[in-house]
Amino acid sequence: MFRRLFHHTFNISFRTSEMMTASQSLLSTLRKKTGYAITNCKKALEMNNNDIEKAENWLHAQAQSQGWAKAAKLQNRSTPNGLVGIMLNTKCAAMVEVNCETDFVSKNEKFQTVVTQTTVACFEKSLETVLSSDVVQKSPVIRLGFSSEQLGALQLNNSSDSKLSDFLALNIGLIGENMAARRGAALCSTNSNIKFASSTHPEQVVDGTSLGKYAAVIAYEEGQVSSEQAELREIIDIEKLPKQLCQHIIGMNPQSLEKEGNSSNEEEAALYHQEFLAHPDYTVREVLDHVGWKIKAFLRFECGESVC
Amino acid sequence: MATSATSRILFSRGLSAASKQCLRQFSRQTGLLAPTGRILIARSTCLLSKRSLSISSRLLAAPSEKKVFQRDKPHCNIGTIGHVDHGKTTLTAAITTVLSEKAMAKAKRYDEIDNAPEERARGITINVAHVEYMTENRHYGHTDCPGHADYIKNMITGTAQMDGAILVVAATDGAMPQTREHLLLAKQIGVEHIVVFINKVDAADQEMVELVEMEIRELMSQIGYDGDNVPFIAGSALCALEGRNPEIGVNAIQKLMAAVDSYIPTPVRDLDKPFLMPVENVYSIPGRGTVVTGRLERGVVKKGMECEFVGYSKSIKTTITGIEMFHQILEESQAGDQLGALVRGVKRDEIRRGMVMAKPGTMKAHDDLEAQVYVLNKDEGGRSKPFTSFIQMQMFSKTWDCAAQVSLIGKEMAMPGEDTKLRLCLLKPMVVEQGQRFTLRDGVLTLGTGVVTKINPRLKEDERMLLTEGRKGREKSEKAAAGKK
Ligand SMILES: Nc1nc2c(ncn2[C@@H]2O[C@H](COP(=O)(O)OP(=O)(O)OP(=O)(O)O)[C@@H](O)[C@H]2O)c(=O)[nH]1
Ligand SMILES: [Mg+2]
Repeated sequence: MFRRLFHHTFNISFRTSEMMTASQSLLSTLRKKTGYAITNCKKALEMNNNDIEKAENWLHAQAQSQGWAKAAKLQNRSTPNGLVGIMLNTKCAAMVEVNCETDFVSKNEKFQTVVTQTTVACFEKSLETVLSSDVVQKSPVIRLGFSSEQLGALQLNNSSDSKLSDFLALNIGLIGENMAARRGAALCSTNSNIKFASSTHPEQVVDGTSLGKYAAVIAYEEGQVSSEQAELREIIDIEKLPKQLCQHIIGMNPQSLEKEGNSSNEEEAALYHQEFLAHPDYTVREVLDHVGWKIKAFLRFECGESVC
Repeated sequence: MATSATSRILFSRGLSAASKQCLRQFSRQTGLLAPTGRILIARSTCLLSKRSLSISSRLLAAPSEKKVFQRDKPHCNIGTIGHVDHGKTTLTAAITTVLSEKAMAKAKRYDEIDNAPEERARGITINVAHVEYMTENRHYGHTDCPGHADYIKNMITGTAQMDGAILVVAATDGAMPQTREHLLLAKQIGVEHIVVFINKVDAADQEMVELVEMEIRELMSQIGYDGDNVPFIAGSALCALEGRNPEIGVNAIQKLMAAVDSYIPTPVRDLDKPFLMPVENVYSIPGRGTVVTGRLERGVVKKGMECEFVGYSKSIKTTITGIEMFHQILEESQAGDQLGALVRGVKRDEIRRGMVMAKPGTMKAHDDLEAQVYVLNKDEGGRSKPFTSFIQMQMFSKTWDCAAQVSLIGKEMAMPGEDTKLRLCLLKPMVVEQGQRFTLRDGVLTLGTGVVTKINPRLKEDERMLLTEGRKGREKSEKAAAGKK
């Protein structure tokens, strides 16, 4: 983009830096400090007569508008990779999917920050919605969904005038790959009997947000034990169970809680009828009955899956 | 089936035509040129179904096939890695163009490399372009890697095996945040030698080039490469491709290839290693004794040599008293040959398929391994469900297969379509080495394919007992132990 931007007229101004070794040069300092592309750092110094502070300010200002320019340029490139992020407390569990072009970028810290920031924004918005809603909660668990546009319009938590979409564009400029905050969803409840649990896979925790290629959330209620099983008493670890249920959902991809019809396809896809991944000799229902829990709702995201 | 194929080798001469046919078919299926196809076959036999596995190993033995691939220079596999748009494909095209002037390559246009058809090999979709060329010193197979997840899969399954790599960095951008990930992955899968090409210097100046070099050296040292001594060449792939500015064009490419020639070591040829032959079949021939057959993987065997059979907790030393190939008696046989070896004083039932015949003392059996595995998804023939630790699978490698208990490292479960680190405990010790490739199966399904990354000390007796206990048993005893505390 900035090819051939330094003209001869500028030569005089950076002759001095040419005489130093690269490691001591202003260019090197500015690049190390800001991480912007070398051509841009060079241009910043030229435009600001080698005043490094001014150059840095100029770069930041440019970065935002350039980020948008780059974002516009890259917007047609497909983003099949990325990460899912989850954040939860006792009232609400929110998750988002943010995509990028390559798997390498999804391992990158800058990108992970984008995902955690998006998750936090989505979580706070969900929490705010459920707390402020004066609708009496009819169903114990409320489901919320966020489109790509809705996510983009969210405010970043640390500054009230900056939108998520700006932050995204800035990072597209920095990382040089297209990215998209694709979707978000949340389960919320003000009923204190409802508990939330989550899991991501492969699990990685960054700043209190759990990241992975897959994520699942359950909202469940503890209650009366209806049928205990002697063997399960020997093998079930109740502390691990909520997470194991989430892992089961990630792994077995159930489509519903209970089957409605009678076809065996539906049975395979109904959570309660599936063999429990952690104890395959028992169904999920048998395990839940044994401990007396009921799953009220669940959510599952798989990064890059097609959504209807 | 393997028996009949082998006996055909031993007792008929009509196979070379059949194997050529098979090679042609393989190339057609995979969209690969025959020479490259051969590399693929040679490097990836373990994922092919057993049938094609035995056919492909036949291929290497067929004498007519040797003409397909010129072997007068040592061979080396390299590839271009680097950030999107930094010029990997342009550089690949430029290398072939520059070398074609010396008739050492067929010039490939940019779009011939870039639009390489998506190739399907061994049920796993790969999307890399293979190019071949020569320098004065060596013959190269060159892989132009795309910068996405498939790259990791290709590395693990062995499709894109590289002895060294060219990291392409544009001087205009410098190291990108993900350059670190590219290098980490290269390091992880054992690419020890990297040459750096700083590209697009036509659009940069000296100071920028120096800065990029400094940054990359620093980064490489952090990751564990010898950053101070990595060769750096600055130039413009585009200029070289278009025949402009020779000092940063053609000359830079020549400098680059000289650096690649000297810095990336030639891999040790299989021929120069101690001999190794995985046993495919064992026959008892009245009046002569016991004959073992298989494809010689490495080295040279001669009549009269000492050898050792290792596997299934056994080790038997003896002498090779005769070698046969294509129903003829030979004095010696080389890596790649399909042969039968007559061995002295060993009974037929002492040796089994799955053992190896090797130079005494060079091969050991192991039962506790770590591996990096790609788990096939349903479309690739794998299963649709994930698996968790303590599942038992059948591990296939070389000519053996053995039950193995699988445990996941750093994960609770392994999903289809992802790569993962595993510990494998074999129910019987088998011959394995670091870098050996294998597949994991469950009944009729191939669950995964991988590479051994580490060999642990042999299991102790009590650990071995635990292997058969299964998951539920483990959980019960774990819980009981926790309860007592
Ligand atoms: N100015 C300049 N441009 C170059 C040079 N080399 C490549 N380019 C341009 O950079 C762009 C990207 O080049 P590619 O070779 O496609 O890059 P790549 O690394 O293969 O990109 P991906 O395969 O998408 O990761 C093209 O527009 C090239 O023409 C160079 O030496 N100088
Ligand atoms: Mg390319």
